[in-house]
Amino acid sequence: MRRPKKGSDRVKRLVDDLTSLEINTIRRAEMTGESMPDPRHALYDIAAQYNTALNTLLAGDARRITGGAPQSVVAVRFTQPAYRHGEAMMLAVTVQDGRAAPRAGLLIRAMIRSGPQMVPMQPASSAPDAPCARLQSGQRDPGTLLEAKTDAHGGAFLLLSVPDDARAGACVWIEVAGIEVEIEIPLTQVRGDLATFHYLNRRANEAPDRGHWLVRRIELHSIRLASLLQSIKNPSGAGCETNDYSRRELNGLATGGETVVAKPAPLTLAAPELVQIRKIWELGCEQIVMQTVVQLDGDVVTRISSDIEAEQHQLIHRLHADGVRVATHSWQFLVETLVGFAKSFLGWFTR
Amino acid sequence: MKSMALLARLHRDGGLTVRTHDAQRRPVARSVLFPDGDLTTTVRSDIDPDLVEQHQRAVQAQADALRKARAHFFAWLAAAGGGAVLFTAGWGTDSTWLEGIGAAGLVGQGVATLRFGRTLRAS
Repeated sequence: MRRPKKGSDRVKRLVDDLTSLEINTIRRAEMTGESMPDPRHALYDIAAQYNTALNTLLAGDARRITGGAPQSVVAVRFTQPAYRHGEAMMLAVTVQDGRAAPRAGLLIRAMIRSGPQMVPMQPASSAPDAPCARLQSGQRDPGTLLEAKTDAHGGAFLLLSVPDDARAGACVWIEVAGIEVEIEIPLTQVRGDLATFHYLNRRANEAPDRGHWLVRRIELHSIRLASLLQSIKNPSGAGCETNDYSRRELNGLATGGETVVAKPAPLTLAAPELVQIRKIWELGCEQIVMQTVVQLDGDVVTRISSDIEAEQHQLIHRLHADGVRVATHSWQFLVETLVGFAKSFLGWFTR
Repeated sequence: MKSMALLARLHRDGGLTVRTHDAQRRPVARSVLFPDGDLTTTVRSDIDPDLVEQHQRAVQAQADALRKARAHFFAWLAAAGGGAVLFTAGWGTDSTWLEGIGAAGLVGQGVATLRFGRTLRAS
């Protein structure tokens, strides 16, 4: 079922796409010749690549929260999960207040998304005093807070068990000295679903080095893909498409077994949306070594990575220059043809 | 038909892929031509210069084929549009239904060939 979309929106999108031309050249040590898979798989691939990249880029990173009154600095460190307990991911969170003195106002909650809401994780019996909200019928397992303790220096330690580490939406909520902040819990695995793209966007937003090209790309592309999924109507009729499937489910296998089940129906995408996914999939996390952007008004911008400025990279320069020539020629033809077609079409009616 | 198949593949896959392999059948260069004209090329850092030439020729050939396919498509579309306009205009006249559609098709095709044939030659 194709969702209703205004014809004017599509024409506007087409015109926008045709007002600029982008030629990218990527250099890789190894490559595969595979084509983009089914869009649902492609979204999974993109999310998995972005998540791995963010985990690598932000490994060992202690998030710092600065501000409040009086001025306060809180460092939050997530310990990468070194072991698993059953299907759950074990994660340690250490919060260290910048001041040495004990702090009474430090409040930490481990939260997890359950439907549209964030609910506190359930405490295990070893942490009876931790904040807790019982599950309502139909709500997702909210995870378990295995241990929660504070020390005399204003620090805190939480040990969490997240029930399904491929599902985004777990965070630590901290309130200290008037500052309230939610920090995403890093996941080892993700799905290519709506919640994951929001999670990746938020995580990239939290990164201390948001100027890094890959962090910036993940931030932008994740929110674009989330918006794309939100614009697709769910085939069942309720809400938007979430694409909330594991890889096994996408391959037509039941979770936790070899039973063959029906694969999810293909995503109903308009042509520009498919092209958008394909462009993002093609780029992945690769660094663009040369990029040329040509605007319809004649502006041409070429960016060259400092890595390939040297003479020995003449081959790549040549390849890129040739790509620019081929692409501009095709683009010129396309624009001229469309303009000619529109003129002749209007001519018939105004004759 | 070949033109239509190429355009169908472009829109079904969201782009046309051109791959070049080396003697060991390893992919060494890969270009994707997108429907809006964008181009992304991925190349192995150790690619042989001869293979770069080969890849460039393949991309050029695919771009040419795409241009021709688009020209044919628009010529066909213009012919169909022109035919529809003329057929609608002649509906109330004394000419028969079959004569009307035949004449409209011929005139539409002629206009389209003149208009888009020029663009195709220029490209």
